[in-house]
Amino acid sequence: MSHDPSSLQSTLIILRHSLRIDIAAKERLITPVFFAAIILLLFSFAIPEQPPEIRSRMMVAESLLAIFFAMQIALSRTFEAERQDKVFEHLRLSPVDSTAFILAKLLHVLLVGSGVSFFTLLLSLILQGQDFSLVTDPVVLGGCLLTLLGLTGIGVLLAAITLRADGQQIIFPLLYFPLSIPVLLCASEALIQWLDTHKWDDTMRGWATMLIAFDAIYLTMTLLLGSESVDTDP
Amino acid sequence: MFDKPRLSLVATIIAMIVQWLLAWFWVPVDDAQGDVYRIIYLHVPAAFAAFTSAFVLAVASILALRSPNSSKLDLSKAATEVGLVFTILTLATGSIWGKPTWGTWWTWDARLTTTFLLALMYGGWLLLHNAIPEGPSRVRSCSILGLMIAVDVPIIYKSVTWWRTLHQPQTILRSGGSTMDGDMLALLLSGIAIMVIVCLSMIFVRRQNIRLQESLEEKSLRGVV
Repeated sequence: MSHDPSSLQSTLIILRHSLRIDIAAKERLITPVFFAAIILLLFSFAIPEQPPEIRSRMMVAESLLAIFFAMQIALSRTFEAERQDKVFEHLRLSPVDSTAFILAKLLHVLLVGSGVSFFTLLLSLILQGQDFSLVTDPVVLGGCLLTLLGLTGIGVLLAAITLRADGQQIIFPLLYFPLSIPVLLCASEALIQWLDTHKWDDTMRGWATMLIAFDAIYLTMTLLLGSESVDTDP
Repeated sequence: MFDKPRLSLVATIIAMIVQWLLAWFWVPVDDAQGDVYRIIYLHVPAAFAAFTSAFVLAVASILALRSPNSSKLDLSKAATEVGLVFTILTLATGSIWGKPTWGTWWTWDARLTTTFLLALMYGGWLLLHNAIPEGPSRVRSCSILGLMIAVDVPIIYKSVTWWRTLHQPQTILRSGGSTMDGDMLALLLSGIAIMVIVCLSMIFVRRQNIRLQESLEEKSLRGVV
C-alpha cells in the first residue's frame, strides 16, 4: 500500500536528494569554496597590510564579501538539477507540495552555505592574523548564521522567480546584489561593533534587531511566495 | 481632443508649474541654505511619487498573484516605468542639492543608497519582465519581485532614523510637529499632492498605451493591421 508523504517527509527527501547530487558532482560543492578563497586572496593582494586595530574590521568585510559572492554561485544553481531533469513540468502531477520543495532548497543552500562560511571565516582569520577564538565566539557565529539566513532567504526566492528567465545567470545577480545589501550592511555593522567593543550595547542591539528583521522578511516572503514561482504553468 | 486621464494629467502639470513658480518667487529664502533649498519642492514630491508607484506596483502585484492565469502585467509595468523615472529624478535632484550643501555629488549615505537600490530594483523588474516569455510564469515572477520592491519603500523612509546618516532626518511627518515654516510646509505638501496625482495619471496613461500597443501587436500578428 502506498501513501503520500507528509510535507516534512517530502522536505527531507528532497533535501537528501539535493545533497546526494552535490556529493556525486563534487564541483558543485567545491566551486563556491574555491571562489571564496580566490576573493580572500585577492583582498590580501589588493589591500596593503593594516594596523592591528583595523584588521578585525578587514576580516569582517572580506569574509562577508567572500561569503556573499560564493553564495551567489551556490544560489544561482539552486534549481539547476531540477531544471535539467524537467522536474517542474512534473511537479504539478507529483504529490510533492511546492512549499516543501522550496523549504528543502532553502535548507540545502543553508547547509552548503554554512560549510562555505565556516571555511571562509577560518581562512580569513589566518590571512588577517586574527585570534582563532573568534571561530568559537557565539556572537560572531550567530552573526554569520543570521547573514547566511538572510542571503539564503532572498537568494532562493530570486532563484525561483528567475527560473524561467532567459539569461538567468545575468538576471539573478542583478536582482540578488541590490536586495542583499541591507543584510550585508546590518551584519557588517553589527560584527564590527562587536569586535571593536565586545559589548552588547544599544548600537549593537539595533543592528542585530535589523538583521533579524530583514531575515524574517526575506524568509517569510520565500516561504509564502517561493512556491508560487515553481508551480508549473497550466 | 483629450480623454479624461490625459486632461487630468495636463491639469495637474499646469498645477505643478504654478507650484514651482510659487516655490521660486513666493516662499521665503532659507536662513541656513539660501536659495538652494528650493530644490526640495521638486525633490521631495518626486520621492513621494516614486513611493506611490511602488504602492501601485504592490497592489497590482497582489491582484496579479491572485489570478495569474487571467491577469496581465500592464498596470505593474506602467507603475514600474513611472516609478523608475521618479526615482531617478529624486536621485538627480538630491545630488544637485548635495553638491553645494554637503560638498559632494554623491555619498554612500543610507537614504541615498536605499533610494539607489529602489532604482536598481525597478530596473531589475523591467529586465525580468523582458526575460520571461509571456504567460502565468511571468505574471507570478514579476509580481513577487514587485512585492519585494514595495518592501524597500518603508526601509528607505525609515533609513534616516535607523542609520546615522548625512541626510537630514524626517522634517514633515515627525513627532512634535514639522520643523518647517508654515508657508514652506504648505507649499511642499501641496507639491507632494500634485506630484502624486501626476504620478497616478502617468501610470494610468502609460497603462492605456501598453494595452494599445499589445492590441496592435496582436492585430498585426493576425494580419489585421
